[in-house]
Amino acid sequence: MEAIKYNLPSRLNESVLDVIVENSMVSIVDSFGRIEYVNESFCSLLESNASELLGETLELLKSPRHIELVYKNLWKSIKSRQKWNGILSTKTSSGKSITLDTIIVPIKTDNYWSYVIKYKDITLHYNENVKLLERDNKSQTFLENMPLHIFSITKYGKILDANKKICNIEIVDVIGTYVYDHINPSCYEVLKNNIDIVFKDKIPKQFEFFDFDENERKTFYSSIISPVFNNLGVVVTATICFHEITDYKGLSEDLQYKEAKYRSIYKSLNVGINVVADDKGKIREWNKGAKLAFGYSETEILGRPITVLTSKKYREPNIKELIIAIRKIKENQDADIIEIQCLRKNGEEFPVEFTLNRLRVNGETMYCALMIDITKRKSLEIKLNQKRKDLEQFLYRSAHDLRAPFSSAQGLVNLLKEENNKEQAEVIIEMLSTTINTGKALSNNLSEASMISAKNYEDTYINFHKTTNDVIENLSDHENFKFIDFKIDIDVQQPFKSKPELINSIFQNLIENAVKYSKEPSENHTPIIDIAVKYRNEELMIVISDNGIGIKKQCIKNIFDLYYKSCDKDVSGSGLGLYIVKSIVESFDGNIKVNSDFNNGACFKIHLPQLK
Amino acid sequence: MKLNFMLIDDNNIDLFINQKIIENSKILSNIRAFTSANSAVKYLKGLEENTGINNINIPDVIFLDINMPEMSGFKFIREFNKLKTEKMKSIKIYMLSSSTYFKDVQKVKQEETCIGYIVKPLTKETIHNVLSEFNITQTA
Repeated sequence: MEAIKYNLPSRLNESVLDVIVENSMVSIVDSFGRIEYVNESFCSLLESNASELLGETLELLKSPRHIELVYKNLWKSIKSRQKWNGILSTKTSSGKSITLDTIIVPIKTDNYWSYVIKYKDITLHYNENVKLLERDNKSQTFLENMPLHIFSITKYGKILDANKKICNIEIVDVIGTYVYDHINPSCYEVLKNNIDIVFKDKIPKQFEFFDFDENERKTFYSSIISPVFNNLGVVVTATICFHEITDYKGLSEDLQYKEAKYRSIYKSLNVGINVVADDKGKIREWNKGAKLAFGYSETEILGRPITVLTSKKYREPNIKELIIAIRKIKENQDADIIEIQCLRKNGEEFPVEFTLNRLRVNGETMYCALMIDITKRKSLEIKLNQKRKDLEQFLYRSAHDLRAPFSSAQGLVNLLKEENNKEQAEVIIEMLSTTINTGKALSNNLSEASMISAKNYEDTYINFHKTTNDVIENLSDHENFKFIDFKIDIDVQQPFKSKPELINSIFQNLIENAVKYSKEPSENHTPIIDIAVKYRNEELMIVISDNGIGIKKQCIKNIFDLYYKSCDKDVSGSGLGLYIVKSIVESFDGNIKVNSDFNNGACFKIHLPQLK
Repeated sequence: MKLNFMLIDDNNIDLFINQKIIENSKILSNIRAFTSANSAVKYLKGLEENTGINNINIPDVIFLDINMPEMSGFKFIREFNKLKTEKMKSIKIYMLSSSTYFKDVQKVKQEETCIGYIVKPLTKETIHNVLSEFNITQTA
């Protein structure tokens, strides 16, 4: 580079400058825009001569005060001694418009600034461009104003060009998508078939179809697809044109409105699952409820066989049921409501109640399947059945266990009648009293158990100190009581609301058990019962543990069962206590767990959520 | 002849009643009471294993309560069937319950090993019927 520069002045002599000046248009103006120099070719462009121009302001540059933005920029640039380049227009002496690509370079000679201006006449180009743009604009407006949508598409329906935007999607964004993306799935088939024909038979095809707009209004279209050939006569693309002809279809406004209304209702129904299938079993309509229940979108499911919706495991019996239903319908009988197992897109199964109706539309037979998801009802049925069994068991066991003390009492009375020995009679009477007490305790427990389901308890704030102390005091008559060391730790900072009678019942049963199953005190054993109540994060935790005789491993799983009695014969019980506790905890949506080592005590942990 | 009775009931008072009723019937009897079916099974197993011992101790009659914790009367019968040899064959089992529920009665009737169902409490009359099976006349 240095070398070239070095040589430059020697080459750039007068004659070179002459050549440059001769072959381009140049002028020089002073800092006010007055012409100091013009060359010959510039003069001839302006249809003027040098003597007329010299000393005058160069019209082309206007004045620095001119308000048009281009001139402001121009003057701002050159006044700050920067080169400016841009397109400027002016008129020749004869009034002809010319457009010039202009470069202005400020130069400084002898402390005096002037501007060298070089021009290039681009009038011809410029005018052509303007014309071109105008034409383009015109054809664009023409295309846009067409009442038709026209696309250039491939045989797969990919859009290569479009005449105007559709549904507020700009043309550039439409290009590259597929025609199928812009119509309802219900029209796929008719469209695809016609496109195939055009590409195969190489002839234009005209057809009509209907679609539904965003307001579910039925819209009719007339459509023409014509093939576009290349030089070899091969169909490379097709031009497809859609023309809305709803208004010419002679449908009354009223009818259209009605249809749109019913369609909206059908589509938006999300309670019932509504599927319409044709006589081949292919799905033709799909509502919101169906989408919610099965997880398939309309696009995914239309055209697929209705059997994909049924559980694979039960498909055969399901199909049998369907065939029976269809036969019944064909014989003009009402099809029964049947229960079938359905399959979600994600593989989950769920039961539905299924009814089938036949529709006749334009001579076509369709079947409308109405389904109702009965998962909840089913699970409730199962729960109810379990409850019913529980209740039967409860009644049976209660009746039996209530009889037992009466039978014993009757036996004792029989003996008493025969007994002549007074001492023996007293023994029997003592037993009678025990038996009666057992019966009483049992009937008390029974009424306690029946309380759980009763709803008429008020929720109040529980005073756990009082509850615990009351329970302990009630147990003070028990023979083991006086040896036991109770450790109570109640940490309930915020109020806990619940049903006091039931909470009391939990404490009563658990603490009573802990007392009943305590071990006799000895030199190295003090019976201890720990009662801890904690309330944290909206959850109450009750822990009642003891160091008593504990529970045998094989019994632990049964201890909450109805009428399950301890294996230990020395301790009497109704077999209801822990059943009651568990039932209460479950009625509060809580849980109860037990840990025990035989001979090492037991620990019951209860979690109760705050009532909502 | 001395009759061996085996009483199985988790309720001490019922055991006492049954024992008294048998004693009051004034026959020669030998009564063994068990408060759990488990311990009764253990006792019978012991008899089975000690083949040398004379059969005097083998019970002639078992009064079996149905409703007991851990091992119920029905479970006892299953265990009993397992060790039923020649020696045990002659044992007559009566099931006792305060239940008059027809399903319970039916269930007992289906048990081949059990020959009768007695609704509690055991009375003079019922014990009389049982004893008539043995052709024993009460020395009343």
